[in-house]
Amino acid sequence: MAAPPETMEKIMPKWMSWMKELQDNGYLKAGRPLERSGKLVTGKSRTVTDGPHVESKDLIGGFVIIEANDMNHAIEISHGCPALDNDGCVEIRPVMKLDM
Amino acid sequence: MTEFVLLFEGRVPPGSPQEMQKRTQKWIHWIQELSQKGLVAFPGCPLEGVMKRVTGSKREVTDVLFSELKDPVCGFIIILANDMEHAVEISRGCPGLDLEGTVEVRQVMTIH
Amino acid sequence: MMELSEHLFRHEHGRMIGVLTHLFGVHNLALAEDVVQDAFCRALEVWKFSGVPANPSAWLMATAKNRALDILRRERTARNYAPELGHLLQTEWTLSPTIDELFKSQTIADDQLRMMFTCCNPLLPESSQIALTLRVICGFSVEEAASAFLISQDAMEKRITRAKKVLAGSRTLFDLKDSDLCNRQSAVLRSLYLLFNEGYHATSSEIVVRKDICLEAMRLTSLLLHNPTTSTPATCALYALMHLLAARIPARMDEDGHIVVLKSQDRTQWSSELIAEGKRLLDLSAEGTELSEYHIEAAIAAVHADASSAAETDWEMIISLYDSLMALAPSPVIALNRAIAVAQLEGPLCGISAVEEIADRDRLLHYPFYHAAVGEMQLLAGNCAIAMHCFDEAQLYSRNASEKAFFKQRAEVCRIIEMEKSDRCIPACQRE
Repeated sequence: MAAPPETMEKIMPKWMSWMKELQDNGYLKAGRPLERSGKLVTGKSRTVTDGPHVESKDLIGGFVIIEANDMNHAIEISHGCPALDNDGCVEIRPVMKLDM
Repeated sequence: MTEFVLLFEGRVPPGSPQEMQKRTQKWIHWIQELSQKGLVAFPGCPLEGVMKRVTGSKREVTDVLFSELKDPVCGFIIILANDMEHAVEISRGCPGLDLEGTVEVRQVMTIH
Repeated sequence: MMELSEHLFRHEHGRMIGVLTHLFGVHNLALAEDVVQDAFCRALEVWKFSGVPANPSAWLMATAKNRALDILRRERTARNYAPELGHLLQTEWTLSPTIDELFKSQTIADDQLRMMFTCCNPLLPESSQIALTLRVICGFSVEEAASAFLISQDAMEKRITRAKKVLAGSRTLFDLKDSDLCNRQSAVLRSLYLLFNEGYHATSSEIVVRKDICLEAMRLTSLLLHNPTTSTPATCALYALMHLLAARIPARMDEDGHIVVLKSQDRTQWSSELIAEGKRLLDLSAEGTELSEYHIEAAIAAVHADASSAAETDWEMIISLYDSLMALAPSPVIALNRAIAVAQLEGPLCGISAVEEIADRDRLLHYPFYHAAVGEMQLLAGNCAIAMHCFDEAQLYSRNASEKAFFKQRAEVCRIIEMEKSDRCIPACQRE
């Protein structure tokens, strides 16, 4: 999920209420907002660089793990994400099942 | 201790069964070691190579061709570290780096 | 659970390839290989976080099965799959039960054998059959297989690609009920024995990968013994032979990585467990009327195993076993081995005449151990100059650095003895 920083504070209540909604419906397994700056450790040489770039459009601002019936259900749930109202986006990835 | 998310990026290159087993074993040992040191805050999550993107107020849904992503995130884990430097130090042990992968280290925002 | 059993992936590779090739057809081997690779990738992604599941083999097989179902549902008509299953894969009604049936453990085991038989296609040269077995059944990478065979990766890649093309022509896996089973099984046994020998003649630098090959050849042979159709006395005898030879592996190389020949090996280093198991299998293989070359070769290996030194070996018995072997499957290499035994029993001159009597002796001219054997006999007979020449020839045809170094060292021994002889001559000449 990505959202422009300047509106972060304004939309905070929206986020809180969406999270509560996810929790009340029993969808929410975990979720974390992320600081915008980070480090990248790359390759055999373990090169450390600053990144990802804050100006990057695709910067991951945070994530939630939800339980949904299937991809369509997950898409439906994602529609409530406040980041979307600020031209942000949500990327949805299934978590691999740990047991067969 | 603060929470840090380690995003594991980069595809697994193909390898012989022997090679794949070696890689798997290395990962298992590394994660186990973190866990034994009490550094795992949330167990690791492997992600499927399938992605949908929902964009903007119109909720436009698009298929992302996973095979065309450059260094996709294949999984993540939340660890505990003293600070960013410590989290980077821990990340250096990641076996995926030996196959030219990347670990993106991001601090979890704490609500003040 | 944290530790994977050694070579688990390699062993599961062959099992998955067998059943998937049954399902997709031999002409879709590449697709089967993709599905297997996919299962390993998935295992890597999941097990890294979850640890090794309680039954990792079942986990991998279930993953391959799910992936296969996905593919069949998505591309039901896009490819021609196994011809004999064709219509069963066309509708959801029959697809699931067909696949459930295919992934039952007995079918999986049978399919792996059928794949082994498929790889030993008589249209392929033996070198390709064993390369294919190593690649397709044991899952060796081209690189691993090339280093095992001491050839370039390029050459191995070509050999495997060509072989796969030939294989694709057969579409279905070899049927164990086929009337040609007997012939095909002898080809399989020969391939497994060749594979074992590839590994057995390891040199120090690649000893690890090549010892793996011996173990793989033994494992595949044991698979044949687990199926009543393929568990023949010859298979059992081959398995016995492999045990008796493998018992010597610890003594075949000295600490510096040099070859130690049978007569100089420290026999206390031979594995007594492998010898005991080899003898038990040899007894077991005697049940029935079939007498194969593996029976006799195993019996010879057992005579060596029983002797505490080269001198105390029952050479008479060995010569008579070689006579039987010559009657059953004559070859110049066997005749050469017989001549070496004759030299041990009756002296080097008798050995040399036995060599001279070998039919098709010219076929041995590129075999380094032919020249080396004659060299040893000539050396014992006191003909150092001739012996030295023989070891020089052996060097010329040696197949790896370790062999070359060994022959060079033997030639050097000849040169020193020859020099000492002429040294002794000098005072005599001066007396003139």
